[in-house]
Amino acid sequence: MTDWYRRLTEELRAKQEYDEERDRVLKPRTEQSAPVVPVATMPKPWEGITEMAQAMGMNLGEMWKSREQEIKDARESQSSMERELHELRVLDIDRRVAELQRVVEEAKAKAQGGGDNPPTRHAKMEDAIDNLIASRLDKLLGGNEQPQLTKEDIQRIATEAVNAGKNGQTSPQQMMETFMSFISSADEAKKKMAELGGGQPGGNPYLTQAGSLRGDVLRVLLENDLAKIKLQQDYDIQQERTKHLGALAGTVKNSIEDFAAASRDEVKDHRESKSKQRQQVEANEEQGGYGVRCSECGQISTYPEMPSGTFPCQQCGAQIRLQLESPHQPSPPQRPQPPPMRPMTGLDF
Amino acid sequence: MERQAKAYIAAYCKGIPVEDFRYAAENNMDILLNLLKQVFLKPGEEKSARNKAAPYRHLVERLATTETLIRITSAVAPEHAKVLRQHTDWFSRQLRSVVRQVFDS
Repeated sequence: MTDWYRRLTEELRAKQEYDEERDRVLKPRTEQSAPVVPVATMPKPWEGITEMAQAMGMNLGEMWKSREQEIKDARESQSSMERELHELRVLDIDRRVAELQRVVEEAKAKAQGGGDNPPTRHAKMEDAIDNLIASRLDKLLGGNEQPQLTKEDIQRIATEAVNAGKNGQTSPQQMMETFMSFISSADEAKKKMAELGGGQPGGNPYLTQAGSLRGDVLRVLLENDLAKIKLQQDYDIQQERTKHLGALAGTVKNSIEDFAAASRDEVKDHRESKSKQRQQVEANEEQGGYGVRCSECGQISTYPEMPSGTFPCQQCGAQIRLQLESPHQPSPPQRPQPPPMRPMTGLDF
Repeated sequence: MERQAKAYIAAYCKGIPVEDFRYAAENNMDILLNLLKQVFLKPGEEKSARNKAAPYRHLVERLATTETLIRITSAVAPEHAKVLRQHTDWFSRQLRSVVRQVFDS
């Protein structure tokens, strides 16, 4: 064998060994990362957990059963709570129905208490209201064989509604709707009573008469509305006052400069008037004589001698009749004694 | 209310010099009353003006006291407040007559 043949043989052997080694290392990894993996080759992380739990003194079967029991208890508790809630709703409706029944019974007892007396206007009015409520309820309940419902019918409907709710034929919501319909019919009655003038001075006194059960019930129903109306009225009045006060404040704010200017002008006029008066006094004192204020123009005229009778005003020409300012002064007045250095003065000064 | 009154008094005192104010006080001028008659109680509108003012009587009577107004004035116009303090009788008389004119006539 030649050398080249021996080298070729070694190279081929080395390549074969390399291929075998590559297949041995890489083939298992390729199988594990394949998209479809045989179940048998899938990893099983739970393997060994049972043995581990047993080694730790835990019984997995019992733990599983206890968890199931807890879940079952929780479900029972939830269902019992729902049942209690349902019963509570029913009881609440029972209580309301009982109140309504009591009201109706009292009304019946009161109506029967009248004995054999002929029906009064009050009884007639109550009957009219009952009939109105009954007709309204009849319409809201979808009609009835009877054309009008009586008080007994109303009571019967209420009882039936409650019983149906108890037996599960109707839901509590449906029962509530029934009673809401009843209340809305009472609202209609309230409107009718307002139209009839209940509570007004000239209205029907029977509608809100003290001691009338119907009136009491309706008054209770109306109390909220009355309180709301009163609050609304108070609010409106306050709003109106605030609005008016705001408008007034705005006017004052805009005109405050004018107010100050008016006061300033008034002071100025007063000053000028005083100054003029002072000048006139001084002039009179220099001239001497009598000063007479005209009642027409308000100006002072000076006369060297005491005028008498009727004489014309020097300023405006109006005829003046002298009237002395001091009533105790004798007529004709004595000229007042002048001070030593200022001999003359006037009547007005 | 007092805040508004303070703003009004400040504006009013800014418009009238202290000397004029003092002159009015010394000469016993009815500047507030005349102002009221010019602005609020205009001839022929007295009745409606009094009706409008009636709901605010408690507010005005609470605020329109000599001490309160001098205190408010001293905060915004100290010189004018000084005049008011010197002529308290005149100012009290002015206020009384104004309130009486508005609410009691």
